Amino acid sequence: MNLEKIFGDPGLKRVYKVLFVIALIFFFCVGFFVEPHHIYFPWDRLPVFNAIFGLVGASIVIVFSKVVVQWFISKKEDYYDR
Amino acid sequence: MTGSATFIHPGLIMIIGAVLVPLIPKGVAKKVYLLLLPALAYLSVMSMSEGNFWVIDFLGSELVMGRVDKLSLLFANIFTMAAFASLVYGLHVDEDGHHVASLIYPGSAIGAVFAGDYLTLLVFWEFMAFSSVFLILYGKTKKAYDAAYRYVLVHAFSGICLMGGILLHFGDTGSFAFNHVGALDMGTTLILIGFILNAAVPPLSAWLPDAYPEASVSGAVFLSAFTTKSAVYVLARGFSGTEILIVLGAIMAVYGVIFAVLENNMRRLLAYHIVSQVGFMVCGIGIGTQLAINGTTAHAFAHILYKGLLFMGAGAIIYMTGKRKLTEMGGLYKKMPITFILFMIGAFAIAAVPLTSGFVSKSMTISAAGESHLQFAWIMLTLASTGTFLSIALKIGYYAFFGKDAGLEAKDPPLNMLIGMAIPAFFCIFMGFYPQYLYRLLPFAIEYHPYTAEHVVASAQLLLFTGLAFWGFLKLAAPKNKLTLDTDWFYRLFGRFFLCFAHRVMLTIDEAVSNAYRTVLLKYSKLVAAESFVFDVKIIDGAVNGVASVVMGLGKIIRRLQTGQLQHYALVVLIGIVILFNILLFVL
Repeated sequence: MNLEKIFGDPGLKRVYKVLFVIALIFFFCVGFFVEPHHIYFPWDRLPVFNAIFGLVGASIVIVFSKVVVQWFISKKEDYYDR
Repeated sequence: MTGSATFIHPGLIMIIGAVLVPLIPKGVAKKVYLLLLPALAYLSVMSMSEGNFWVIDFLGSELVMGRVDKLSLLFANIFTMAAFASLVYGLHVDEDGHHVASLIYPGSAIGAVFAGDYLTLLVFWEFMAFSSVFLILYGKTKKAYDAAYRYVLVHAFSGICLMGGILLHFGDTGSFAFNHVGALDMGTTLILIGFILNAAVPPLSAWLPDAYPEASVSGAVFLSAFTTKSAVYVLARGFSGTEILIVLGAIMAVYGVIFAVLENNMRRLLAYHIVSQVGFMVCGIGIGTQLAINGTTAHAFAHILYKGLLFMGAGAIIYMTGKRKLTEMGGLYKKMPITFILFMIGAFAIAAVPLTSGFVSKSMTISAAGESHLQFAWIMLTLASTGTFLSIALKIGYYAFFGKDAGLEAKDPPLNMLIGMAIPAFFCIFMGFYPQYLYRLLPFAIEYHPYTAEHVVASAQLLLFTGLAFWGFLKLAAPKNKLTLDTDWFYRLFGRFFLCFAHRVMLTIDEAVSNAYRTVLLKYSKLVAAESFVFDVKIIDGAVNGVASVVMGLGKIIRRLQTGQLQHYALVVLIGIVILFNILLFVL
């Protein structure tokens, strides 16, 4: 099985990026046309809440983990062997 | 309904069958036998009807080895299925001991699931701990031996908590029956601690990412399924609706994700995701509504399959390349294409991408949090969902399979490993397309429709924009050659602190005492010894010698008296009589 043709081709890589951006825009816009079934929380009324949550939440997770937590608990790999 | 005609204990099929493994000749026969046991166990589970079976009277208490209801059936169903797929994956292993452990371990987990009383549960609980440790030992590295030692200590502690709790509970209620626990008291709290320790709830979770990554390649696959999920089962059985579990579960879900984002060791990253995923289940148990318990059990079912698949994929990479760290991988999709595809199915399933099993199961718990208006739980679980997609599908996907080609020589693993991976991969997609397969197994019959436009769009937005964030932080998110500390730091360094204490404090005291002894006591005792010597020679010896010489002198004189002639003795006697006679005369 040769996946290199599918994933390794620079031309196709560009196509994937474009498709990704189109999907982002599409689902962002579709959010405005979908009626929520249940309103449990105030943000359920916001059509693009999940998009914002995904972007902000993931950024917080990365930055918090890689900057704050790492600063506290990252040690050299032989920490326990010394 | 009590009887034994329709119930054959599937756990015991595997445990007793495991004992015979070394007797089966190597080759095809052994492989067939190994697969036959979980297959028979699965058939046994499938043919069961609900009720209490194998009820034994023990010291006036009832022990129930076979409590069959929808909850126990669901877990037994997935446990036997996972055992089968994992055994297929590990068929190439040549060590009988490994196979024995990998049959007894799931067997005892199934035993724990069917236990209707605390004593039976405790026995299988301990069996589970002590059989699983061998799967870590078979990692056969110094690190694995050390981790196994810590693992067994932690689980022994869990067993002790459980036993203490059971005895206190028995003291309070007079019964060993294991049912839903109402209010928390001393006994039930200890039982809860025993359970949440096995469920890896922080801060009692560090044993999991410490031990699982060190296990053997197929051992880790077994480990990922049974210990934590049997804990989820007992929590769902005994502690549903316990509010503290909502908070613990919500924290746990994010905790696992934060550590996973930091992690470089692939299997350790996946181990942190067990913590995160079990967090969803623990939170669901805490919420305790029918939808939440359904969500928890559905999630446990789906999770065992995709997490097993992910550990299989990671194991395949380790098996073929010997590399464990993401920083040493890269470009593997070209070398191991089938592994890549199967792994990504698991990765998409755990991230709850639509048309996978994660999508139809995970959302139930989040919906249950919404339905109960639990904002904190909802936010934490949704945050954990983004983190899951981020750290497994995107991070591992990108850095292990794409990214910079590390130039590793590799190919897809042996056929049995690929089939082992294909089984859960099939179910990940099958359940995504046909969720009713999963839903009809759930403990409560309720209507739930995962594929609503709202749900699909919300998920797509969440996942796509998480992808965008990852793209933006590609450099920052890159794995680093670092080790992350966890709460095991406290007990891992206890030994070092103890040595340090012994070295610094105790040794100093010891030296001070030795010096004092040398400088004061030793000199003093030398002086005393010298004086004693003089006393001994002059006084004691002098006295002894003096007495001896006096006795000798007297002896010489007395010797002359002993002439040996009878006449002399008779004369002396005569003189004596005369003297005595004269004395008598004078006296009288």
